Formats: sequence, structure tokens, C-alpha cells
Amino acid sequence: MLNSIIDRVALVGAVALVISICGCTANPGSGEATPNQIKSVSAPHPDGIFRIPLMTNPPALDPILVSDTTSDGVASKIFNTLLDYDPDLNLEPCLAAAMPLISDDGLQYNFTLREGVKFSHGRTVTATDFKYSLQRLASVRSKRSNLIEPILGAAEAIEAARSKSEDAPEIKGIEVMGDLQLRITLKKPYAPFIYHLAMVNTAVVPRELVEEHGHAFSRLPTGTGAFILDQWKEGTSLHLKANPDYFEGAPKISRIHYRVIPEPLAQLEEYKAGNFEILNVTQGVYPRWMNSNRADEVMTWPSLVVQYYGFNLQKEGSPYAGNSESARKLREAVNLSVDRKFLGEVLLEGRFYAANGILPPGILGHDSSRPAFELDRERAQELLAEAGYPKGEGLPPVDLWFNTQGDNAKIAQVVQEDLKQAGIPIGLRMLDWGAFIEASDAGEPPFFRLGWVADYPDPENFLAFLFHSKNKGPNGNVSFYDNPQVDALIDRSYLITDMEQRIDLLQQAERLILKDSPWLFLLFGRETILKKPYVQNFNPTGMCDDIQGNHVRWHLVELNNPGAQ
Amino acid sequence: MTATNRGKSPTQMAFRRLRRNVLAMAGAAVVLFVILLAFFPSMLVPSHADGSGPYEFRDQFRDKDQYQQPPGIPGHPLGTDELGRDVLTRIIYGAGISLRVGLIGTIVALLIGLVLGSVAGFRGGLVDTLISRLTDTFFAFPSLLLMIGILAVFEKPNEIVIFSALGVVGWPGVARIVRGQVISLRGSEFVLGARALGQSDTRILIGHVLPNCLGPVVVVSTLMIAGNILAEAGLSFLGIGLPPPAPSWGRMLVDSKEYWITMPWMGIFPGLAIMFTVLGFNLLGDGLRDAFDPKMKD
Repeated sequence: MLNSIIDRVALVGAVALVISICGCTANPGSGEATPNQIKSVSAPHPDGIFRIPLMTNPPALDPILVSDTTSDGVASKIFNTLLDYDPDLNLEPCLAAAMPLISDDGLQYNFTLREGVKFSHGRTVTATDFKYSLQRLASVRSKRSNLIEPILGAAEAIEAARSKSEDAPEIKGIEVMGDLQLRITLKKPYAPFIYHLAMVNTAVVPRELVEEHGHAFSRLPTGTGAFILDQWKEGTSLHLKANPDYFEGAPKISRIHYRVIPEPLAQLEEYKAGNFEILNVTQGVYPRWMNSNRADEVMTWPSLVVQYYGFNLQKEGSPYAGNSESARKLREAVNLSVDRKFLGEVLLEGRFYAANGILPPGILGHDSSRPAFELDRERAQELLAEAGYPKGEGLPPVDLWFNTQGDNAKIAQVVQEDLKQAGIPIGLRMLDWGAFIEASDAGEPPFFRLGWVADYPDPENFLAFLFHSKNKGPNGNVSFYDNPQVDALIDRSYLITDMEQRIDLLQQAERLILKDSPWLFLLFGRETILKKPYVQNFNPTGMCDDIQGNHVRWHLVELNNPGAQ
Repeated sequence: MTATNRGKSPTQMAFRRLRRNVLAMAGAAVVLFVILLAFFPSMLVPSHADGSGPYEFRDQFRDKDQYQQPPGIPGHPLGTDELGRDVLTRIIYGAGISLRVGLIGTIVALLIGLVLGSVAGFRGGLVDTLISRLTDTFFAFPSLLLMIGILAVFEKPNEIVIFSALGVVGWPGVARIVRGQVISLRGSEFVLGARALGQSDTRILIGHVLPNCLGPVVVVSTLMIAGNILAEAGLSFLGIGLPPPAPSWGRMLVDSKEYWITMPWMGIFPGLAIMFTVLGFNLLGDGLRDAFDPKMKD
């Protein structure tokens, strides 16, 4: 009786409220009649300005200080590297005239530089500039000194820089062989090194300006890129103007204007009002736009990311830890008890999808023939019983640790529910990122949520960092996974420069790891953005490209007059 | 008038005044209702919701397009949340959490604030200076940081610890108000009168001064209950509040943030629940102040 009264009162209240809310929104989001009519102004800026929203102010634009995607996106328009990626993520020459000649022992990389490339202040780039720029990575202030570590003499230089706080200590493995000739010698063969030369951190900078501005170079960056920093109001806006002398040809757009708007919904309104050319998609936007008159503005592509819940294999007291067959079966049972399809397609609106292993598509060696992980409750129950916990009886609960960001809490609650249905109890523990990463590096959580975004599109970047026993803890192997067979395969792959052979070894390693189930393998990701239909030649890669298009050929991007179409 | 009041204690008279105050009674009704929800949630959960509690998902969960339901669907009068859980069920179960967070935090703050504030105001001099500077220090210290610090001490903070931490952060406000009130009352005639009668300081403080500060304190407390309910949401957001899937109203509000275009009901109803509860406490607090104000006449 009371129940039905409450129901009725609540119902009346609810209906009244929803009506009143819809009444005061300009665009009632009923969504029943398809397609939705979304008002989105579609007219380019008359002066050919490309406008991009930012969530935060880029912290630093000096290449050696860039360690976040926002700074990377801006810096990659101002600076160039020796190599870069084509849209299929193959390396191709950028400031180098051709791909380097690599000696047979895999130690020497011989580069010939492109002729006549100029810094935006007018001076011509030479091999000496590259030597200087790479050596700067060894300095104390550098955040990415690990990128040059494989070079002969770099470790000593990094040490010297630390003790004497030199800015660019001499590295003997980097040699200038002529105006346009550069030779890099490695300590020992390390095939993935070549990818480091496509990261913005290794971009070429003009020595005289770095020395003139000192630390302020990060605020007054000058490079060889398609765009030049024009004006930067920190925390508010950042304006780039086209570099008319860009070595690949003058950009077709006149300027790029960034505006910092921390609130995604405010960004969306500005995009709809025609004040941005491009927008990152947040919750609820993707399905709504796909199902609307503006579906052509949605653009999506796979990104090189994997999300997982790792088991800490060395955590005492956790039933999932250790190399025993029973622990392994438990971990496999967990893997079979989660409905990733629901997570990816429904809960996360297709922005993620079920993983089929460790290496996402786009990474060399991704095995597309292997089926994605699926829910198999029956097999999971068999495994539970074999592990000594029939229907999960007697299985002690462990806590899943995760940080507060993004969709983590949502996903965790669904996984918790899925596992509960299988009889596997887990608790949830939510921490802020700093506390979380500190705890997981120290091996505290028995079960934890992490993701990995590729630094370069090579399987080594995933397998070595996340599973090699020498990288246990803060270096990336937070599961404390330790399998000598896997270690041996990865180690052997370093000595081989032949891509096919390398990939084969690393694929073997991936298969061995999958069998051990050190993770609950979850999801691969997709990047999803909105883009005005008049924007042409915006061709992103999966390598940490979002609306910033870190690897997009920005000098080719065009704004067509929609009237002309 | 005087005839009817004969034989009634001041407290009885105060409650009489309270009963006549319609707004205060409405507030009391809301508070009572929330208390009822807090103690007997299972009684009030709609019977045709499958009764599996606030943590569990519904059958529709696996149904791609149906698990996020707008209000008014049979079984889900207030709709479901982003994970397909019944919003009404979660609000009802959340009442207990919100009540506890509001009350425990406020009681801790009141205990500390009343003692320190009244001693500082009544004693004056060096004691006052010391306590006031301590209060200032707590005021100046970022409360969130302090709270994170307190909670970091505990390996796995439970509800009581989290809620008490809110009180530890909230007491300076109470102390300052009480101190001001006590100072203004210290020299008043009825205190001088009590002193002339030879009453001890403690007796004067508890028997005469404190009851006269009750008004502002009650108002501050009711506001603080509201503030604490919201603060818990902030703590959850930073990962040091109650972990999901606990259905606290604050957390529901936080979770609704990214859905407010597509699923506005996810935030509206917990928001309304907080609003009405806070309003209820405020109205009741106002009424109590008026009723117990010795200067008020029938």
C-alpha cells in the first residue's frame, strides 16, 4: 500500500520535473524520433583559422620537457624530428633525407639530413644542431633522458650532467660526419631505438636561442615546424601562425588558435556554435551524434591503448598470486567471467571494445586471427572447481584498486558485479592517481586497474615494459610477472633488426603471457572526435592522436568553403 | 495568557511554540521521513523493483538499449542510473549514509567547537588568545588537505573515521560563533545577576550563557549537516570518501555529472533528496532557534 503510494507520488514528481527540464532546454533531448536534429554551425573562420579546445594549459613546450599529450600536441606543430609516422604508422623520413643506413651489427645509424631546412628564425639546420639537441636530453632538467640511454656514452653523460649540472654534456656515440651527415652509435643492438627519433622529445632546436632564453625557451619555443608560436596567454589561449617557409610547403591554414576550456560540456556548446573546428567526444555525445543529422561530423579510429586489471603475482595472501596451477586457473576463471562486450559497446558507447590479447591493432604483431575474450561462465565454473574453489566457495575476497579518473569507477562496478555472479568476490578501493600509482609501483594492491598507451607502435613497447622481469615495479611490470622464457624471447628480439623475425619472437612471448593470465585482459580503445565537415586532410594515426593530431600532417590540412561543395 | 502558562516549564513552552510554527513542523516532518528511510530502507523500496538492494543491477542490465531507463518506467519510478540500477532504491538506501555523514560530522564539530569556543569567550585573556589562534590556524589550513592528511593516517578508513574527519575540519566555524556569542553575553545583566547569586563559572556558562547562544549554533549546525553531505561527495570524488558502489547521495550526484545531458534524472533526484533534507534540517533549526530563544514571547 505504502509502496504504491510512494511510487505514484514519485512518478508524478518525476514526470513534472522531466517536463519542466525539457521545457527549458533549447534542444529537447528526447531522442525518440530518429535522426536527432542537432544544430551545429558549419562555417569556417573567414581568416582560415583552425580552432582547437584544450582542457588544460600545456605545461611545457621545450622538447626535452614534454611529457604529457597536451604539450606534445602543441610542440609537434612547432618542432620536427628526424623521422615521423605516416598514417599507417610506418616510419618515414622527416628532417632526414631518407631512412637511416643501419650497420649489419645493428649498432650504427647513419643519417643524411634534408637539405635547406631552416629554423623559423632563418638559420639553416645542420647535423651539429641534432647532436646538440640529442645531447640536451641528458641534462638534469630533461624529463626523457631514457630516450637516449641506448646511445654509446649516454649513460655516462647523464651521470656527468647530474653531478655537474651541465646542460648538454658531450655524448661520444653522437657524431657529426659532415654538414648533413649524422652518425649515432649504440652501446648494444636495440632495435626499437629508431622509434625514439620520431618522438617530439628528440626534435631539433637552435642552440643560440636555447642559450639566449635559458629556461624561458619552454615559453618561447622556436623550431623548424609548420607553425610558429605567436602569442601565449597562459591558462587562456595559445596562438600559432603558419610558417611560410616550412620545408614541406607553406600550410594551407593561416593559424591555429587554442583556447583552454576545462569543462567538456562548455566545449561542446562552443563547437556547436561554430567556434571550434574539432572536439574530443565525451560520454553521451557519440551515440547522440551518430544518430543525428550530423553523423558525418563523427570521426573514429583505433588508438594504441590497452586497459587491464593486473594481478599482483607476488602479493602474499592473494589467492591469485604465484605460479601454481591453481592460481593460474583462478586467474583464467576471472578472465572468462567478465562481459567485455557489454563494457565496451554498451557502457562505454563503443569508445572501447573487447581485447583479444595484449597488443592492440595498429601495433606491429597484433594477431587479428585470435578471437576477442568472451564471457564463458560454464568454463569459468569448471576452472574454479579445479582450482579448489567450487562456485567460489572459500575464495577470500581481494580488493581491486583503481584511481578516480574517467570511466574507472563505472567499469569496476560492472566487473565486480560480473565476478560476483560467478562466485568470485572482490572489493573496490578508489584512490587519487598519485596515491594509486605510488601504491601500485610498490606492489601494494593485490589487484589493480591500469592502462598502457604506446610510446611507439612496436610490440616491444608493450611486452618488455609490462612483462619483462627486469622492469618489475615502477618501470611498468606492476604485476611483478616473472617468466624466464618470456624474458629470453624479448632479450633475443633486441639483437635482431629483421622485423619479421623480431615480431615472430615477440608474438611467441605474447602467447606465453596470455597462457599465464597475469592480467584480467579488458579492452582496446578507439579515439572518437567531432570534426566540422569542411575540414580536409585531417588524417590521424593511432599514436596518441586526438583532436590535437600529434602526427597529422598539419601543413596539408585545409578548410573548404562549404558553399563550394 | 498568563493563566494558561501557569505550571508550564520553559521547555514545555518552547515546544508549544515549536508546534505552532508550521514551517518548522514541515521541516521536522522531512527530517523524520529521512530518519525513517535511514532506519527502514527495505520497507520502503518499491515492491516491484526486484528488491535486490541498492548495489545490484537489474535484469535489464544485459539489455543493450534498455538498461538506462528514464523515470516513470514501471518498477523504476525515478529511472535507472548509468549502470542500470534503480535510482529510487539507491536514494532510499543512501538516506542512511547521508544522515550519518551529516550528523556524525556535525556532532564532532559541535563538541569541539562548543567547548573551545565557550571557554575562549568566557575566560578571555591568554586562554582566549591561544584558542583563537588555534582556530585561525585551522581556518587558514586548507580543509581538504587536512582531511586528506587525517584520512591518510588510516590504512583503510571506515565510515566513522571519514565522517569524523569532516567534523575535525568543521569545528573552527562553530568555535568562532560560540566565542563571539559568549563574549557578548558575558557582561549582560542576567550573567551578572547569576554571579551575584554566587553561582560557579561552569554553572553560569552551562546554565545561562550557552542556552542563549543556541540560536546561531543551531542554525550553523543545520547548515553544516548540509555542507557535510556535499563534502562527502567531494571526498568520494578524490577517492577518499566511501568507495563505490555505496549509494551515497553525494556520490550519485558526482556520478551523474557526465550524464546530465542524456540522463538528467540521475542527478536531479539525488540533488532533490539532498535539497529537501537540507531544507528540512534548516527549517527545523530555524524553528528550534525561535522556540528556544528566551527573548521570544508567546
